[in-house]
Amino acid sequence: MEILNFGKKVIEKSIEAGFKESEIFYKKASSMSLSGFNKNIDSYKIDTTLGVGFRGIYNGKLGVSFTEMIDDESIDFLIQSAKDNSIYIENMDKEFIFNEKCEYKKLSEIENEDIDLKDKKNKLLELEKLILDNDNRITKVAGISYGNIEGEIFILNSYGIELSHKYKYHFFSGNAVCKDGENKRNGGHYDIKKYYNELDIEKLANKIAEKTVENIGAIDIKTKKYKIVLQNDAASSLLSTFSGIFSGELARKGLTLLKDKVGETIAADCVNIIDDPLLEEGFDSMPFDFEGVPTYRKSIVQDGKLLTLIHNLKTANYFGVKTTGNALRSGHESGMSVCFFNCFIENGNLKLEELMEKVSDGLLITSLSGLHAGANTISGDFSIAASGFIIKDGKKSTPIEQVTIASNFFDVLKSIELIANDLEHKSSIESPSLYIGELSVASKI
Amino acid sequence: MLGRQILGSVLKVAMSTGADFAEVYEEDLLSNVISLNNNLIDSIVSGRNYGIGIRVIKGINSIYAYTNENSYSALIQVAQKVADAISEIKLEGIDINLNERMNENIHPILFMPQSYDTKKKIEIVKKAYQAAKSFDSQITQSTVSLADSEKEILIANSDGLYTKDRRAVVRIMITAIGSKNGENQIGYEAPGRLMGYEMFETIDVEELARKASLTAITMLNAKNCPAGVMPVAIENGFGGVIFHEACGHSLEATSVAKGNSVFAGKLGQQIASSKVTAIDDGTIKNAWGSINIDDEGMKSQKNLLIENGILKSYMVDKLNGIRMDSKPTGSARRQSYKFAPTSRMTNTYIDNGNDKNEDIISSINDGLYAKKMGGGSVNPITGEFNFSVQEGYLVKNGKITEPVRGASLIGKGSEVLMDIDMVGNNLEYGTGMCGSISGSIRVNVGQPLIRVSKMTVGGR
Repeated sequence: MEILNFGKKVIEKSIEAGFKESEIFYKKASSMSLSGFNKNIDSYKIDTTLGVGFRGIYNGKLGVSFTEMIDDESIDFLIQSAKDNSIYIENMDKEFIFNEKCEYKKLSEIENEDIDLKDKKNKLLELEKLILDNDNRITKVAGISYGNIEGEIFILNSYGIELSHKYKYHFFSGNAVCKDGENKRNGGHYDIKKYYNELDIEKLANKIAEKTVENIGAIDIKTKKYKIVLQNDAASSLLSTFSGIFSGELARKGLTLLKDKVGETIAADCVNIIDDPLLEEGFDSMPFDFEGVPTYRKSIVQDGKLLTLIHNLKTANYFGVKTTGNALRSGHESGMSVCFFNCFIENGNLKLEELMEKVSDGLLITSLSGLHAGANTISGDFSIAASGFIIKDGKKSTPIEQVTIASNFFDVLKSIELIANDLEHKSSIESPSLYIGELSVASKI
Repeated sequence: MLGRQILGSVLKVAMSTGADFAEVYEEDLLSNVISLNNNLIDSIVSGRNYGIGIRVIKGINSIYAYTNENSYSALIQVAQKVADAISEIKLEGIDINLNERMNENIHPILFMPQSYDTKKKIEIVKKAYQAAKSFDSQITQSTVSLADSEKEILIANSDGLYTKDRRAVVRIMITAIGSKNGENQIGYEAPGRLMGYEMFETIDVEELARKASLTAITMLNAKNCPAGVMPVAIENGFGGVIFHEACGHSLEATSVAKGNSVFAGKLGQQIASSKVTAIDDGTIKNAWGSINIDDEGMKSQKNLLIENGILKSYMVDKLNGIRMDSKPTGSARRQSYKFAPTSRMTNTYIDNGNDKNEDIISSINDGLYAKKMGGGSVNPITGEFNFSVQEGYLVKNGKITEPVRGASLIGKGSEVLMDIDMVGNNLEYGTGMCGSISGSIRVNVGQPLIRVSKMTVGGR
């Protein structure tokens, strides 16, 4: 059965079954990936997949269900499960299905590119060769991959809303290993673009090689407090981990300390945080959110003051404000939540080199790990592994062995002193490099 | 589920260009998640995941394709795509004769999740909430989630295997939040089983909820953990995450086969202190990480990984086994049909040792007692790992003293294994979700109380 018809049938039948209003979300995607190892393409994956999510309001309560099977039986399954589930809902916060007629901005369409599979395979193997040739200290390439994803998201509801959005992107990634005495060091990087022809494997190979060998000669540093500069990738991963603190959904549940802080100063006054769902360069940009509400660029934090949390129709109503158009279904399997589309800390005025000069002595942290475990959105505490370099006399110098850094994210926001101008748009949450003051660093000695 | 006739034809097409091996994996999953917040049922989501993955291996290369469509024509199309990707040469197709092999269900299921009364499920959730919330006035919030699923899988391959398995999984996740002076701290318990709802006859949900609240309160009133290098005693149960990250991932053929593991090429060598014996066992009855058969259709088995510090075995799947010239160990797992299988862990633990638990604590003059661990991660190439301590205490002059918060532990797998110098006798398991290239899967970690002579502790 064709999926658009399936969706319309479900909505029709759900109204017959007693739902006052209902909505279908579905996503069709196809992707392909190649992996290479040792001059050979050793794995190739291709897939097409779809998923359908249903939400309906029955007797004032929300029922949610999903399926990956598109047939007549599934129509009944979706409607019956959602109906059965709705009966047990006790939380009486009002639920919504969007019913306004709106204008939506148009984002540029991604044009078709016809790329031969052979070309992709060759380019991937070339990437491996370029990495190895780049520096003779590199002993092997642990892995290289290429992938592309193409998908379409649809939202239909019983009020006649029928929206669709296409997305497409390609990426190359690689990871290389070098020897450092008794130790092994490794480094990886990736390049992601909307167009295959924009991917630059030479630049990528250079970056992978650079990130691999720059750890050679890493030393242990003393356990104590250091001035910390988080390089843009590291800063982005930390911001991403804590992005839930701005969620209207978590606030509704009493799970974020920012719940009652709209209008208050929560960050240093140099900090401006924006969410722009219409960003052309953004990979997650959409002209409407997952409820069908038109999206728009908004200031979340301005000069350190929290202007708004991010909301969908339900959370906005709970707080007596308007939706910010941030409704998200992270997949057909989830209920409606909220999320940023393209969230970023705005660029400052300094080059990273200038920022380090101002800091003079400290640490440049280039990557963080263990964020999924060592960080807690509810408390804001984090204690995580980090790697990077010593900043000596304002310059990036000796690499350091793995250390831990610990603090509380709410304190970090207030302690941001300097912001660089190296913001990149590679994912939905990004930051430029930041100087965040002094933090406790633990190491082997 | 698909029949032998259809699958025989699909496999024949998949093999028609000279592949060495072809496999079809079909999966049908029904799941439910009930979430409670502030003593009110906040959401219930039910759904069905369904799909088929077709894999083909030639030499050390593999092709994998998946789809949601299970019509004969759709499957033949995918099989053809996969065969064409291996080679353009078309050969005389060989008929594949599939023989159904039944599996002994070593993990009995009683009350299937799909038909278990939702009212009763809600009772369990509310019991947990009440116990957590009423524990102490400083507990301001508690959220409870109850997730269950019934998964049917079918594996057929060009060796003639046709086999099925049915898995029921239940897990309750309890979070208690303590608040004081504008600060929050949490406690978390999340027991789960490869079992039906009879699981709740074997565990005391209210006791666990109280434990979560106790952690939250203790941490709320704890000072920041000092940073430094010190001896660390890691308690049993989820403390086993240390072995999982420091060693477990680096023993999966996934990284060993390509020489990307710090323990590659070290069979028969001493990689841990002689006090360490470690096992990966998918046969532990109804345990959270258990399986009847792995996701390539091989019977689950108990794998002795390390014996008295000597590396005895890796965890191997079929494809990496070809690379390594090693037999598979029943370790092939995948999150769903959207992933090709690769070697992963099941229930991985350090076995009981000979040291007395009291002696472990009394041996520490100035160190840390990690009572409850959070999760962690590892770089298998370098062996560098990290994990967080959810509930920690200082140890001074052989006695456990004040609680401390915000501690994390880092190190190198090869070093920390050698530094485990005392192993106690109260082995227990803890549940978790493990992420890797074949997706997120349920695993148990485990150990008795152990002592690591020195670790880098991160704190403030």
